[in-house]
Amino acid sequence: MTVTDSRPARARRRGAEPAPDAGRIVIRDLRKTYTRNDGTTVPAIDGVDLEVEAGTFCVLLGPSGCGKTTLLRCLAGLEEPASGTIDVGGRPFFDTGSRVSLTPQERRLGMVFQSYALWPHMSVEKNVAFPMTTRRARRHFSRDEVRERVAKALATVDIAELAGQPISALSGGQQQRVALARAIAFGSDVVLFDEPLSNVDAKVRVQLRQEIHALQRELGFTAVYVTHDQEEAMELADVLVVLKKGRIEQAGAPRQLYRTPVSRYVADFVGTADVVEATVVGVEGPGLVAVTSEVGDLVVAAPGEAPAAGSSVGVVVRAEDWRVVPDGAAAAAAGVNEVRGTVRDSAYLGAATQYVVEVGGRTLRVRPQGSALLDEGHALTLRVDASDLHLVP
Amino acid sequence: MSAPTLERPAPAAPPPARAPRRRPDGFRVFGWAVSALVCVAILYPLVIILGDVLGIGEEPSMAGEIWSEATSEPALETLRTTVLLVVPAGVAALLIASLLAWVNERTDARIGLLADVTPILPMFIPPVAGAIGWVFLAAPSAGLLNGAIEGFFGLFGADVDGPLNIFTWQGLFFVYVLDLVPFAYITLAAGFRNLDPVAEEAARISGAGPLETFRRVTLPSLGPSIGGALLIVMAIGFALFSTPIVIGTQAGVDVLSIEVVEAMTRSFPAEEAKALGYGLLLLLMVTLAWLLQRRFVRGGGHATVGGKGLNSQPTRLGPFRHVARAFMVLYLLGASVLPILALVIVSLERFWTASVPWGDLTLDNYRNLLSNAIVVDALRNSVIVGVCCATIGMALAAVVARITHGETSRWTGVVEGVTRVPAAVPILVLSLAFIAAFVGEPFRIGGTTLLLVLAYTVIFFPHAVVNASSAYLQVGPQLREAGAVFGVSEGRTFLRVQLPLMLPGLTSGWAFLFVLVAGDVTVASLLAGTGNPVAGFVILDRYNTGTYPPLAAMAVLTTLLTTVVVTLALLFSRWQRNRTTAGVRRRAVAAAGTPTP
Repeated sequence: MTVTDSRPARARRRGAEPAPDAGRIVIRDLRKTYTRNDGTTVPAIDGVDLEVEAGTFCVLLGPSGCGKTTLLRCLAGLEEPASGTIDVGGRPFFDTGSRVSLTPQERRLGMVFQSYALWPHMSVEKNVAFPMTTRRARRHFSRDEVRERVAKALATVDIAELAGQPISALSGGQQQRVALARAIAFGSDVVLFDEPLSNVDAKVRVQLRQEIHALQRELGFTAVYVTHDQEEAMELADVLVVLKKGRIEQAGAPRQLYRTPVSRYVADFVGTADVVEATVVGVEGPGLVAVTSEVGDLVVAAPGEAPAAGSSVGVVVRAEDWRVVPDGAAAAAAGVNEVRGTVRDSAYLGAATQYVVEVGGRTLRVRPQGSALLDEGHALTLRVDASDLHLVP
Repeated sequence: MSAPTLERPAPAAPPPARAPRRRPDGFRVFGWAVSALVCVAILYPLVIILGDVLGIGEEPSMAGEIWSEATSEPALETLRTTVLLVVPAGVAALLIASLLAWVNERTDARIGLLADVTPILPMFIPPVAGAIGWVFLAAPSAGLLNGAIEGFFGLFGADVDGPLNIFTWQGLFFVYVLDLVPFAYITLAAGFRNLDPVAEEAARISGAGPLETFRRVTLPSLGPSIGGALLIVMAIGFALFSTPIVIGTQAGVDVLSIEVVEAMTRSFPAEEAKALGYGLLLLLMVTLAWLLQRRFVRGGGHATVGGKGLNSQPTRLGPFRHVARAFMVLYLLGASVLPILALVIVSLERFWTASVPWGDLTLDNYRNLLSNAIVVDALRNSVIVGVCCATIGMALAAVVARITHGETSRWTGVVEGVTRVPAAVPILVLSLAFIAAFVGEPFRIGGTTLLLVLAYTVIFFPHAVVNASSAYLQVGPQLREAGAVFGVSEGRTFLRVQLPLMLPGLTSGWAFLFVLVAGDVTVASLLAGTGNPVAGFVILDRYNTGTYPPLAAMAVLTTLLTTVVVTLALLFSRWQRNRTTAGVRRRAVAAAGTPTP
């Protein structure tokens, strides 16, 4: 893929510098409730504040029912929030205060639907061209330009040869590519993705998400992507937003969420982590806290204000952060952050082997570096760096 | 993805910074206007007749008179007779229909295309033709079947009197069941089609045999469909007019619908109070059935609907396959083939006799009919009125379906409710309302084709809406949402995306409406006359004067007419479906075939 900056081209078209924040999304205090059949109301979105800088890839992550799809649909204009504001590229899309609510047509975003939502009675070409042949868009695109854009969009997603095919003749992966081409052909500043890869098989899924990522980098649009697949989310996101019951639990770079989750919920949802129950004993040193836990005494990195002694906390530990201490070294007195355990189960994952190790009455998932094979029932000593441990309330 | 770099254009004309809240979209305004118009057309005649009854106009109130008619001894006796006929007939029809639906949708006993056509075939034969056909088959002494049985035993030297008599309670019951089966079948077959076979496969894997699976998994999952079908069938059974007028009157079984028409047409001046009194009882029974149906459906909600893989292995019936097929063939014979055959034979005879004079058949009856100006007028009118009503009805219904299912407003519920009112009111009562509203001032369109078009369109509108809604829901909401997100206006999305995809469903709905209109005798009995004759009017007229071979010929012509039109429409629908969405996985949607108010 040739990655070139598309900005100059856009500037030429418009004859002026594009607004630097075209595609910047600002959502303030957005709320939406659903009424159940029995009359009770359920908050689907419960006071969401979110800013997505132009040209970034934002992924909304959460289990089903957390409100991520509703949030996306509010952004698209397919559902009307109860209150709050949505502002994209400086244009108010929705604002209860000044009673603004644009129709989806007026917002002109790109969108890839979960079920593709291709129009089955049109050919591939017609599907991609249709959004550019509306009355409003016809003023901007000549017939030739539409043809050119369709050809380019199809070539970009590698299905140029399918242009004349009916939708029903395509495989799932090909249909998803058509949906992708349709979403980018118009050149919207913002493209929305509603779990676009949940209906294609694993191999195609991995390939398509790399392509989506490259495409977003090349075209520079702002992407808002909904998924419940944390691996997909980590790979794609510049900004990862974890949602819980209609609220943003944590938003930030994937690395930030992975290393310093604000809660057990986030720790559990991003990566493979165990949360060990612990009680704070006291301050161990600068930025270090000593705790006593289910698996023994631990020293945990705690940048910022240390929690009060005696308070209950959770210690987040990642499976891959455990080191297996060689037997000889462990024979000496137990060192700091070392625990003794017994291997109970193992799973070969290819790149690593994940063990379930019983420590102090509970199990930990351990994915040590190196290929030393440990049998079930094998007793071992594990060590973890204080800086790899993280406290959550 | 090595490809030319795309450039993103400026967004199309940026909207004003302060747009009003959801500016009214041209198409939405149009859609709501159409919906409002339809609601007015439905409610106006009912309001007028209600006004007449309550004495809001110049006339004094008839309410007291109507009430005393409705509670009189003969009226209650008629009510009892009707209930005792319709309820058992409805249950029997439901049993037959569920068996047919299961065999066709889920087992290996289905016989290709025939399987889909057989159960609904009778729907496309005007019910009055079917009833008359059975009179020719099984009338005492002159019935063709009786003749055949006598002839058969005659071969062995036995002298047997034909045992069949259609003019009995049993005969009437039998034809009622035949009339009602297709309506139950349509609802049930839709239920089967939408029930993910995975549930049944799971039961079979868990070790349940075919019958046990049917009993313990299929039937309970179809609960709402079955309850719905039963009450739909009863509502239609109560309002049925053609069969009782043909068979019931001679069998001495008086039902409510007959009494309403007799009161209006047999005496002069018309006994309006009596007609309305009996109509009130009819209305009560039909409303009761619908209320129960709604309750049933709401209480259910356990119809599982799967989106994918709706093509699984059918249940193997083994040797029972032949039993199932024999049952289907028997049904086909009884509901369609035999009565039509009888009509054709009698229409070729000089006079109706049990022993068919095979050497002396003639086309004279047809010649005479087609040289009769009124008959030709009637046939032509039936085609015109049928085509007009079906086309107008489906076009309006498509827009109404888009509004009621595509908009989120409190008013969609109102529109939906009002458009289903005609299904809750017996056709005869509605016809009375049209007489009250349009025959006198200010419209004065009594006895015109216009009145017929208006009445039929309104009366059968619930059927149109149900068909259009199911077609609309099959397209699925995401295709519209995709249109909206990509800047396609609502009107253009409707015309270019939804309508083309709805067309196959709309076309079969059109065919169904055409048959309802062209084969109707109920509305015709009150609203048609020599000035605006339709096929149903002529058939009733011939029946009353007892000229049987011409009657048979007329019934054959009407059946031929509806069959040809329906076949063409269904072929077109099939062609459309193949052309537009070949192989596309359609969203399975719970859709009933018959309207519920």
